[in-house]
Amino acid sequence: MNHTIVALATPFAPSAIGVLRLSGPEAFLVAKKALHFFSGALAEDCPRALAYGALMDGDRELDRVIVASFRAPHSYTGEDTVEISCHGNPFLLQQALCRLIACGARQAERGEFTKQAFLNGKLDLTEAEGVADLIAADSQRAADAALAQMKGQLSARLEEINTALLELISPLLAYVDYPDDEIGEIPPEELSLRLEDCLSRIRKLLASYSDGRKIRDGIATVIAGRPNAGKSSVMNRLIGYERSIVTDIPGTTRDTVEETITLSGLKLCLTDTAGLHQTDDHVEQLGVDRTRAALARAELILWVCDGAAATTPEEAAEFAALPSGAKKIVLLNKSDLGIFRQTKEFPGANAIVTVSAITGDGFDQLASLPARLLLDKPTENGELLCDLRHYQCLCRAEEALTRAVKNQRMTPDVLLADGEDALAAIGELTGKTVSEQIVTDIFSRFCVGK
Amino acid sequence: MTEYSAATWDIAVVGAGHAGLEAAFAAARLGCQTVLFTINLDAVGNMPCNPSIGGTAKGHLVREIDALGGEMGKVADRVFLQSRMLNRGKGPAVHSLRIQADRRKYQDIMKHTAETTPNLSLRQAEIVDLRKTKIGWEIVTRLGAVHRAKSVILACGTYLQGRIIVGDETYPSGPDGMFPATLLTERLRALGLELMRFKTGTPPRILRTSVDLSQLEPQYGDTPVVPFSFENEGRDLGPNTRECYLVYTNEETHRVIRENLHRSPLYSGKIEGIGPRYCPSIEDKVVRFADKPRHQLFLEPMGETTDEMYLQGFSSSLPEEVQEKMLRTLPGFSHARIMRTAYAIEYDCADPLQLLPTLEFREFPGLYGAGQFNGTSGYEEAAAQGLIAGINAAHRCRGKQQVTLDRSSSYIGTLIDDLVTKGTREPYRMMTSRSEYRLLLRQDNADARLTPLGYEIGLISEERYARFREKYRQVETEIQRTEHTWFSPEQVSNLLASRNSAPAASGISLADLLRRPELDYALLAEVDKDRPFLPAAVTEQVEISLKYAGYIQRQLRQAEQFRKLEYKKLPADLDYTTVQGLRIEAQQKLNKLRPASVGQASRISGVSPADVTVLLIWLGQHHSQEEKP
Repeated sequence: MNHTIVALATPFAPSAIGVLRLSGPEAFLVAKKALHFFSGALAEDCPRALAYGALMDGDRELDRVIVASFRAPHSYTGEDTVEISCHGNPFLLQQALCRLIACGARQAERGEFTKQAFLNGKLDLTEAEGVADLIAADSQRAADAALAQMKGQLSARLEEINTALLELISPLLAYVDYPDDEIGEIPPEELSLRLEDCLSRIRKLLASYSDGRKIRDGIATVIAGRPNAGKSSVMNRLIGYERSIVTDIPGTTRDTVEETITLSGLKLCLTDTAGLHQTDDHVEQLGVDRTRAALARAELILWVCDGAAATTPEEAAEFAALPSGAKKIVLLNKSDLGIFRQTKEFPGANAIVTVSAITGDGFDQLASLPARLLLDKPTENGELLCDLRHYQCLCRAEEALTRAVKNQRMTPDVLLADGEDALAAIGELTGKTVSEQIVTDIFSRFCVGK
Repeated sequence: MTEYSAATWDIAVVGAGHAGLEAAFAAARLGCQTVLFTINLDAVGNMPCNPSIGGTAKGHLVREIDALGGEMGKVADRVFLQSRMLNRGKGPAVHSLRIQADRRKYQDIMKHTAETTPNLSLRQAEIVDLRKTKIGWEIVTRLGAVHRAKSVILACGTYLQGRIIVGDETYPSGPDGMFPATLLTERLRALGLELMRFKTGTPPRILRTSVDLSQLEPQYGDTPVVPFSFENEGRDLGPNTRECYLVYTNEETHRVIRENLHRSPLYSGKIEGIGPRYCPSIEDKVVRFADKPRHQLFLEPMGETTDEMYLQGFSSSLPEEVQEKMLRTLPGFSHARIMRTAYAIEYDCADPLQLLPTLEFREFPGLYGAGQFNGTSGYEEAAAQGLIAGINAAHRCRGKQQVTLDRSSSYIGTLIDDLVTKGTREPYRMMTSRSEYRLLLRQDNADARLTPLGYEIGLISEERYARFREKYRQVETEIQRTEHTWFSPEQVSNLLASRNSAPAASGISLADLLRRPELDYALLAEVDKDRPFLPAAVTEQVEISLKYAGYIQRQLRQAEQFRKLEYKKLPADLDYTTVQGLRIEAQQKLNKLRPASVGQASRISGVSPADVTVLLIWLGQHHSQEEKP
């Protein structure tokens, strides 16, 4: 059981700042894995510290963050605590949360920080009673939710993983627990295969997670383009009402503007941005910088250009410089004024649509595109992993098995420990206890005992 | 029956099997006037089932008993006919010591130890009644003697209402032809104990000279012999020359069994008791694993002075004549003569859910249970419980705090926790799979885990404790040395190449070399020329500590988390229906089982994580009785 917990400490809604809180014996370890510090460090040698750095996903920078750390017992929970202040984009925060879980933290249960604080003598009774009520009220809801969740495809898939793990562990355990019986050693190649089989099943289910999140929390979508291409008009057309102030003076949108819409069932978190161009205006330059930052995080870019004007070298360069990881839809806007562009002018575009933000022409065609581009690989049977708790349990199982793969040259007793850790993680989802399951499995599978 | 007042004791132990013996030794050694009753003095420390001690997980238990100051390991070291460390090469967590014991010799030593232990009286008598008095307990023998005691430990094994079943025949009996205890069961029920009926069995004993051993495959013991007792570490325990023999059943054996299945009491419904899954009878194996062409059997010696041999794997409750026929089908057994017939035995035992983790009955202060009476199986499981029950009964007499072992400390703790928290529906046997802290609970480090506690309790002598501390001082020093002993890549290149180990890129420490799975301490002697001479027990600890450090650290962290809840004690008299926020199912279960700690509560089926949090908060509000480990 992992006791370093993480959760979003601020509401899960667009806001200026979102704070992720990590607490537990390995909070600093997890933070160090996920963060790259520019200045300052964690409070390892002092009660508390402030630092500035980047939240990294591998080599990719998710966000620039302020990191406040508190060494036990100088924290709310009384344990080592790290609070990471990110920018308040829900999608980004979700990614950040996943990243911290991938680095070894566990999603906190409802009220768990408070529980820890109470256990470590940091809270008085009035506060603690509030938590008790909360948890008591929550347990029935959680039970109902869990029941609903366990029906259906996900449960079947977890059951398959459970079985595969048992097929890995039982023979190994029978082999060590019954040395007198004729239970052969599992050949290393066979063991490798079984490990890989379990791992690939877990990874497959894990991979379906991002789709689940996409459906639940939306796609980070950035509307970008050269100044005055009609980005805000496109945004407004999409939203269906006037949100941005639309003028024909280039550079009107200096900040990023966010909104959530649903297109063909897929939620898009739209960010309207300042036009990309070279500028001497300091404020405008800040807007351009933000645009670039938003683009870096985007999963979908709606590139708006003035279809009635010819392509400029600057525009071609800006388009070419868009991050390669995102899907790109080019909107040739102002079709009401006539279109003078060629599709080959946009290498790397996933789709090109002719639209008019003024008349609404072409938006029907646009509507189905994001879902087609982004959800083009539904998992088999259509089932989706969309619960963070499930995700993090599977992450733990994956971590344990990865360790087992790495340590295959070690003795069977440690491989078993890893296998059982994985089974325990899955067991938290299926509600099965490891020991009894294995014992039962061994007796049904092997003729052992004297 | 006319009763008479016989004697007054601190502690009375009923049953002188493996549980009763350890209980009585511990109680007497801790200064309590102790009486140990046995239904037959010739059955003290008997091994009516297999003639071996140890094996997977059971070997761990013996080591733990020894580390706490128990007797089993020491006697086992004196009576082995063959000793083997099983599972070598499968990792230190599952190394398991097992001996074939000279059964009579074991009994003789145990009996004589009981006779010579100060404060201990050994007495043959059947106990027929148990009564609660104002200040303690009274127990009554078949002949009317009334013995008073502050505490009573029930360790009656398979004697209670024992019934033996062989084919169609069934008759009241204790194990090994002893007579059963037929009167106590009723009294225990009347007292209010909930009893269960379990079943176990044993294979036939064969005359050695009637078997053509040349047709069997001999199996030898290990050299050097690894002792069970930490007291014997580094000592030569003598030769390990006796063989066991391997033999297999065949299609013919299976045919005989299948043709006579209708005569098996298991299939005809004559047996009511619940048997253990891990001790399947041969007919069970043939039925359940019909596709297996053969089953493995071991022919094991039972003593230096007897030709009687035990046929492990051939448990059966088929009629005697069928047993004879089955036996003759085995290679080398065409003229085999059975000396004792295989049988199944049914007996009464207590539902262990009535026990506290101290092995005291929750509703009956001063009454303890141990061994098969608590629903377990196996000599080692029994001895482990006996030791804990004996210590606690003694502490109770002395007004000292009760001792409980938690799951992260030992297999003993795991065994008792499983029993008293989850209960059991078949005779409970220890297996390594029962422990979630397997890499911590190794047989090699039982002393490190438990000897300080044994010393504190008073069962480990000053002298032995000093030796224990010296051993671990050496371990620590040697680990430091390996961390600070460095080699250049050239110094180790040949050695590494010879073991297919990756070359060292720069200087490498001895500790880092030891961490590589393909290298070991002995092998590195070649480059580590200045190493001090150290006992094998020390270098073993050094090697394991380094090689498995990552895994050990992780489990230590898990254990530390686990213990937090174990030391949140719950009051014994708490009415859980008054705890706001608990679900009804949890209230009922908690009221029934009355867990000692929040940790134990969390393992009760029907108690959810949310209930646990509610309990924690309740505790904070009302008690805050936190004991420190």
